Amino acid sequence: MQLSKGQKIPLNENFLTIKFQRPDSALEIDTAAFLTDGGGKVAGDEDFVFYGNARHNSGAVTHKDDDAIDIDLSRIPRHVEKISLTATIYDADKRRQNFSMIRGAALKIFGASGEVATFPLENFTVETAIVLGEVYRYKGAWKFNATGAGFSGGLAALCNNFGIEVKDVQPPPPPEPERPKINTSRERSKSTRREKIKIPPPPTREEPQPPKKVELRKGQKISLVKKGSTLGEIVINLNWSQPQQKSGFFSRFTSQGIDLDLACLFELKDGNIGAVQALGNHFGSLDYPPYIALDGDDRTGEVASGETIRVNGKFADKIRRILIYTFIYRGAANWEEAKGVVTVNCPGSPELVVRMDEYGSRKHTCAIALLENVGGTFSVEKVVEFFDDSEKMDKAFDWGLRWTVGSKD
Amino acid sequence: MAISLQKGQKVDLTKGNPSLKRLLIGLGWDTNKYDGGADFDLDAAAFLLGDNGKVTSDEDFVFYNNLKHKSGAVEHMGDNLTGEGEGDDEEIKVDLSKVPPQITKIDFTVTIYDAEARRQTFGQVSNAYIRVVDDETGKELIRYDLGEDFSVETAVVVGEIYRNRGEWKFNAIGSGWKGGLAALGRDYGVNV
Repeated sequence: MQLSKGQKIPLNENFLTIKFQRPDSALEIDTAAFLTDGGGKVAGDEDFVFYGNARHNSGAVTHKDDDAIDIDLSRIPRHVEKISLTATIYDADKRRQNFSMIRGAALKIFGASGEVATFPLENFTVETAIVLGEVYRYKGAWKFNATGAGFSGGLAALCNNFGIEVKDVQPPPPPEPERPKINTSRERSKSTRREKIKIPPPPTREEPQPPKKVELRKGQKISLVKKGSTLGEIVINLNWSQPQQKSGFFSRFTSQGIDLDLACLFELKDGNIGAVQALGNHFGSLDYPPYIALDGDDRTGEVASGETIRVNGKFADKIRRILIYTFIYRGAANWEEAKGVVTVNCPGSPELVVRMDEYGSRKHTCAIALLENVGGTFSVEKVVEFFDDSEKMDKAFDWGLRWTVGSKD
Repeated sequence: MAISLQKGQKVDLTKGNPSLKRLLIGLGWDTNKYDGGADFDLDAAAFLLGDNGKVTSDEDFVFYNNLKHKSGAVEHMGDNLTGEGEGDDEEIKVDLSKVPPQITKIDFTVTIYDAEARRQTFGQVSNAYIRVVDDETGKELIRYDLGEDFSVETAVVVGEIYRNRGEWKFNAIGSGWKGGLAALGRDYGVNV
């Protein structure tokens, strides 16, 4: 059924998935749900369900990783009269974006047997935050109202409208650099992004002590040293910190913590491709293909060692390339708070350090480093590029895997 | 306690209440405030109709540009441009004793001003109602909540009062129309 603006339909099933579908664009859009009472206000901040508070405590509303929202009408608390489904453009003011830039978007409602209704969303002008639609009680039953209208004041305007006090919606400032940094300015153009740089000369006899640590710049490539006839075990480690408590609007949502997952895509010389990641229990193997293995999953970041992927250097010649990436499995995409650091250790080579030092992205997946087989050893290149999901990253790096949704619960 | 009506329900006004002379017709609605679009401006109007369901002259159309019927029977209390605030959004007063004899029916309508250009419909309007108040006692006699049956309509005939065997009755109509006030006016025989 196609809905027009203002149209109201009865909802005949309890389990619904509501999705804001839009063509690919540069706009970063977040969906959310506000559970409100008869006066159109939330009873508390927990009634605001979004990426940082992904599940309402009643279990009635769940914000999913792909920005879809699941609703179980049978579990909605009594005081809730209406659930407003919203979309906001992240950082719209600074980026001078609004919903008039989106064409061909639609809100889709799915039930058990497929699509229930689709509501084309169009004719926006200055809005940066829109109410896509409302699920509401009417005479003891649930209905859906195709709203499709919004505000130019972004998430703050939306929150005010639903009775959430907004103190600070600015993202926290980036942390102070811990050491003087080399230029990390981001090159936008694809042709220059992966500029090759000169690999530093291997240590000579006059200089027997290799540097202990090398921090890679974006786009910089360094080759691991082959000691003897084979490479040793390559240990790739991801560590991150838990966010500090902050006074301000998002503090209570971020306190539940960030769960970064370390993972990689691999491509073997025989053409086999795949992923090593906790999601779906693809932990890999060191002695059998893909010769890459993931250690246990650290879901808090509190384990000093973080998460680790190992590559068996003995089989280096069977591996064509490895893309190290991380994604946020739970919690907000607060990369600046996570301060992720990836280290690559290989016997005989200096420790390579890749800091995830580009902030401001709300995307959940970050490609960190690319290892490529060059003459029996690996070159390590810092990438640090953000993607909506693994599938989009896969495409950008021309990997060719088929992606489905997974869970590690 | 006022009688709450369902769509299509007809009730007596003056029968059993012979002293009832002056009515206040209150019309109310809620619209949400959003940026990006124009304000919602809903207008109430009254059409004084003869036996054939048409106006006897253009003056029988009482609205924001013709606030008072020449007979003095129907007076529009003025246009509310935004629909803000509690209570009635617009009110129309009717003096039954002054209604000319050839007028057998008075229809009350609500239309969205400039609906087409503003891309607005009654689907975006909620909690619309009409109530009939005894203007001398202030007592609410009848209330009809329009409910949820509208989506693409831009005009609604909310209710009507009509003569029936020497008495006045009220009919909860609640019919939606596309085309706004102009189309509605033409339908009632007004030269719009």
